[in-house]
Amino acid sequence: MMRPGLRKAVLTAHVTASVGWLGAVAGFLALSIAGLASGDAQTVRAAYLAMESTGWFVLVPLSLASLLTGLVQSLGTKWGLFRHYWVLTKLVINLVATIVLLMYMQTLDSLSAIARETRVRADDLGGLRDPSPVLHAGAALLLLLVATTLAVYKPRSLTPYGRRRQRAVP
Amino acid sequence: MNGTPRWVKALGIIALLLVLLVVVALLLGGNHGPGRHS
Repeated sequence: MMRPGLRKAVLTAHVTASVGWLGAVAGFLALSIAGLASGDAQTVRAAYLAMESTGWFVLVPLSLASLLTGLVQSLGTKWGLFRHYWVLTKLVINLVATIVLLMYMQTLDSLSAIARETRVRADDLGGLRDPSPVLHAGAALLLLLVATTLAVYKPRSLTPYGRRRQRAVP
Repeated sequence: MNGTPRWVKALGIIALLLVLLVVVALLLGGNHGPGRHS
């Protein structure tokens, strides 16, 4: 078990990374909507270039930091990783969101490469306008909102493993 | 306290439906991923 000071520090890092990730996804969603809906070619190209940078330099680091600090926080405290449904659900959400993000970065790289090469003409953006960033960011935002809600409410219900552990160690 | 809580079952059903939706979209769309931009 972690000492109280260390536990608070890891908790602070976990909350910062997780809520920061949520906020960054909201910003990414705004960029993706601009990329899809704007009539200005420069704005569309800039949005896709900004999305790639935001992905690699903000979303990916924050997602990995959230996952890592979450693992340390759960394994180093009484909560455990598999004892409570709310912790387990957050783990699944975090893993799914991180894996999909890492896979989706290839698509963002591809879109960003098109944005770099495209000549600045409004009628030349057909291959660039793509609803998938909006869909992915919207889904991620919903998932992370569920995770944040679970973290705040902490619904107390033990998994079968948690119940066995509780009986074994009263 | 015993048994799976209702909120876990609800989230599980929603997750299952979303996975099915994604699978159907991938099967029907067939052009997912970075390679679709030619």
